[in-house]
Amino acid sequence: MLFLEKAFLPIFLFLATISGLAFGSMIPVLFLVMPVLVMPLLMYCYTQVYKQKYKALSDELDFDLSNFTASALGMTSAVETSRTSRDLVRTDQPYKYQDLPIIIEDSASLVAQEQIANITSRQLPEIIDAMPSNGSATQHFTAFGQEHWVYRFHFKSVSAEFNAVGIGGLPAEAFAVARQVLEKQIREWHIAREKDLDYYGEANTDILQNLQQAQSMRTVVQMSHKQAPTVLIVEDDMDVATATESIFRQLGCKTILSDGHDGASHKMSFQDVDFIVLDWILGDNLSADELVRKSTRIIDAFKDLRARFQNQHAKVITYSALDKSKVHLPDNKYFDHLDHWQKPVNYSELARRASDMLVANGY
Amino acid sequence: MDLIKEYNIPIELKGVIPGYIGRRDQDITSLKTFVANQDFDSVSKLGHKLKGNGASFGFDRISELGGLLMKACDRYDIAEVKSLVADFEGEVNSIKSAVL
Repeated sequence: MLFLEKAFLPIFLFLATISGLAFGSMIPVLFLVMPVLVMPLLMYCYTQVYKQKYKALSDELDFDLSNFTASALGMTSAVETSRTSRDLVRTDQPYKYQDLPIIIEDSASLVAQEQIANITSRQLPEIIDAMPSNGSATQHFTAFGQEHWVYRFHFKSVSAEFNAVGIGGLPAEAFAVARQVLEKQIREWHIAREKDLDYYGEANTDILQNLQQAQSMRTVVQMSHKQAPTVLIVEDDMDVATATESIFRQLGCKTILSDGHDGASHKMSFQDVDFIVLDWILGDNLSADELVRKSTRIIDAFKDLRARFQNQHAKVITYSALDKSKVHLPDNKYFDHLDHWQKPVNYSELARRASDMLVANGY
Repeated sequence: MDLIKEYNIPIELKGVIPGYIGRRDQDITSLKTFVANQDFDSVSKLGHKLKGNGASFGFDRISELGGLLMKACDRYDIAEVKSLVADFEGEVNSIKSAVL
């Protein structure tokens, strides 16, 4: 592809010259054809300009990290004398944008708390959203003495990995340093994925080289990012769908609804779903097993979907008024038939089953 | 009357109950049309739907009537179907009087 792209301009000029010589007497015709011939040239020029701009964006960071580190570490002696005043606080609750599980004990400043809350609820999701879906992220804020913070970030998905470290006088400064690195890695990842390559973004740990007090650093906030499970509810009866959605939302899940006829197979394939609650009979002679077969064909057709589903199968719960013996999901390499819930199921019983299922699957 | 206690309606769904009852009203009209046409297939499909959704909202009787409608349709028992449709209408009306 790259060769063709580079060869495009000379080939185009050559053909245009030949055409001009051969059909010199056909000036009126060429006049009409000219816009068609010129358009690819304009498009080519446009892409070249765009590439130049993109290259400029991908260049080195606009500040020198090593200088920043040196200035930060220049205050080491002050750090040593004051490092005893902070307490270790760890939080391991699941990461949620809305409900921040941050607990910092007394001595950590209010400003720092606010900054960490802001980073975790607003800035970090922006970064994670720009990364591949279906990955998991971890961040650590570490207090170093009274005035220094170290921020570490790690993200891993099937095809890409991002790592960054930042140091600053406040959590926001530490995060800003890491963010610069991550944004650069994201740009590099886009280039790698265009070439269908996996990407590994190495952490800028050089900024920690001179940090002598690594042993004395205490983690103030540590959060693991395990995204809330996404549940796709495929149900043609909107009343049942409403009740089921209400339960999964209360259990902290993201929900997607489909009545089975609005591209349900695409939602099953392209949306990043962990669980599918699948009504067996979906009206208009559409049944759940057909939907699964359709989705399987879609997944088979895309390399990234195949990789994602082979890495983690979507778990299907069939939900029908039919008896379990009448419900048989075909054996499938991408979908696991987790359970069958036979209707009617009252609300509290449905809530209990949903909760048990999530717990059994590590949520 | 405390509807939530009377029918065991989940408090989370209280806000959507009027809509649910409205749709059951439409079901009564549809069922009467299907019965007039002796369209057992359509009655059975609607019964299947009622069986599935009634209990989710705390209306166990609606689920029960839906299941019975399906069975009556399997036997092509029009008299039983008519009786069950009347029961269903009575049940919806009693819920309606409690809700509205």
